[in-house]
Amino acid sequence: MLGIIPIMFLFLTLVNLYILVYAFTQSKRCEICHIALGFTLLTFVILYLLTMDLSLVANSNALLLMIKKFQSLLVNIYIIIFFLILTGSINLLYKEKKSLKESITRASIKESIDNLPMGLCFSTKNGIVLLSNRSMNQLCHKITGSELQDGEFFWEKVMEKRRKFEDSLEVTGQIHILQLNNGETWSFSRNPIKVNNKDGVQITATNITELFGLRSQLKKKNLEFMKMNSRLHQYSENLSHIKSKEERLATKTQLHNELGYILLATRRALPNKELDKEGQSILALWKQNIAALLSGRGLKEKNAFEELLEAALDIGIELKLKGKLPQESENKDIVLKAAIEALNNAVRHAGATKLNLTIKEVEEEYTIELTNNGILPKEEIIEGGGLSVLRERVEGRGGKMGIDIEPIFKLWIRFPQGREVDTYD
Amino acid sequence: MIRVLIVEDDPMAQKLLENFIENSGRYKVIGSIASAGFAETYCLKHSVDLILMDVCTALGVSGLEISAKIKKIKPDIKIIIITSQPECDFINRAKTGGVDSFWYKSSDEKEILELMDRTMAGESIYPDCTPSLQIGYAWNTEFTPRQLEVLRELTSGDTNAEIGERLGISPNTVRDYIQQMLEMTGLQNRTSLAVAADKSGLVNKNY
Repeated sequence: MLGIIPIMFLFLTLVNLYILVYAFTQSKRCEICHIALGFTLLTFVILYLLTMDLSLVANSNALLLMIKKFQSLLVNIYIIIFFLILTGSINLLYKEKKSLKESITRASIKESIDNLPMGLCFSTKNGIVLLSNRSMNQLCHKITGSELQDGEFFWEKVMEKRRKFEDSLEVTGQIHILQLNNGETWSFSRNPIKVNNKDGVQITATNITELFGLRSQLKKKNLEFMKMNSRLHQYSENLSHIKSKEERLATKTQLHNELGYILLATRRALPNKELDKEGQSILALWKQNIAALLSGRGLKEKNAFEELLEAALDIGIELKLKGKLPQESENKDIVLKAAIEALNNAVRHAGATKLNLTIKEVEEEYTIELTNNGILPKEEIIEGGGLSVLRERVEGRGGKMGIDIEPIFKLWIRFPQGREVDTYD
Repeated sequence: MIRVLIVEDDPMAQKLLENFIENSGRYKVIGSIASAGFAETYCLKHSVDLILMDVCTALGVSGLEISAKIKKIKPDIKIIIITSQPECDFINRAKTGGVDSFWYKSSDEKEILELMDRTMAGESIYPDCTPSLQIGYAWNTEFTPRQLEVLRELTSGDTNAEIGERLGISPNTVRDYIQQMLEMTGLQNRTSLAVAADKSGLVNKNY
């Protein structure tokens, strides 16, 4: 029986040591240290009880003394070991608490992302949610009416609702905007990421309600501003006509004033029976002023085509128009510039007497063709100042310009109609 | 006889000029056209000694631009710009384009004939200043050249950024110039300023 004691002692000591070594290699060191301490106490109690039993059955004083000495040694050793383990445990406990404060744990990550104002969700490629925060869970509830359990399903719902709303918003790119029933506006994005070397997905949502409100206001103001600018454009264009009219009116007024003076001079000269030198000059003045007034008689405001027609006749070209001149000022201007260029070239290089201007309007695009009855160019046409300026302007509008030489000389232009801002609500 | 081409879109003014010239005995009208867009071609096809060129001509073509082109290809042709527009930059642009003389329209026969004679004799005659006019509380002489540049662009209805880009200055500088002009004229806003400037003829962006 006595022989068991050292074996038990050795066994329990080894178990304690093993537990202690194991404790130092594990993250939950504190708990394991407490187990070790418990084992130590247990070992002490068992050994003490065993030696107590032995002392009762000891049949000699010498043996009893030996047992007592052993018990005393046992107590001393275990008191030392107990205090060693206790101080070691306290030390470990302190270190563990300190490390908990300084290191990031799963709980601290979850807590921090829950406090983020934005919505965040990490999931696998198949949609299994790895981590999501409070905002995203609430958003999922509002959008799908259920818990966030499948990231892919949630994204599909976001895309469905986004489309209905976003089509009218002209939002492009990777950001998707969605307006909730409660009036909040959120922007969503989805990006692939790597989670533990596996493909995963990160979905983020940002509350842009305020920003979106400001954007809408800005858009509204910009539209108003554009309308105002467009009206100013229109005004400026109309003003040219008004000024031209005013100039003509001023000429008329001057002519009428002149006539007043001539009338007075005529009245003064009338008593003279013979038409002397003064009479001749008065007559010349009458003729001059009447001729000027007559040239303005029945003068009505000309439209752009009538002006072009008359200007073409000034250089001896008969112009024929097939189609209708564009109404929009910028488009009309391009056609007029092209016609002026073609007329000048027809006279200078082709010796033409007729020019045909064809304007077609197909699928929100204008096609302009200019042909003449002059001689065909013998060499390749090198675009000079006028044509290159015209090309620049047409291409600047997203159009095309070309010159065909065969079978007839043709200058053609194609350009989109463009969108004019509606100046009236 | 000196051969004259008249470029004028107002038929009455055109007729008056024709009468003045024909009556002079020294000049002969060889053509009258309404748009400066065809003046260059006309000069290439006909012998012209002198052009009386309006600035604002038919089809929206600027007489100043075409005059500069004609002067490049036919420097011997004398050109007199005739206009009733008080745009402050017309005189400068005419000088830059090599135009010989500049005349603010009137019905005074002697005045224009004398100007034509002196121009043909090799003189270059320009008015000392543009006609006086007022925008709000400010006279045209009170504006600086840079302010007038901004004012001209303002009539286009473009934004400060677009105006700034064209003039090579920042949008904030454009805004400052506009603010200065609003204070000078006492006008309420940029639109009123643009409309007043356009209406007065002090600036004219179209030609």
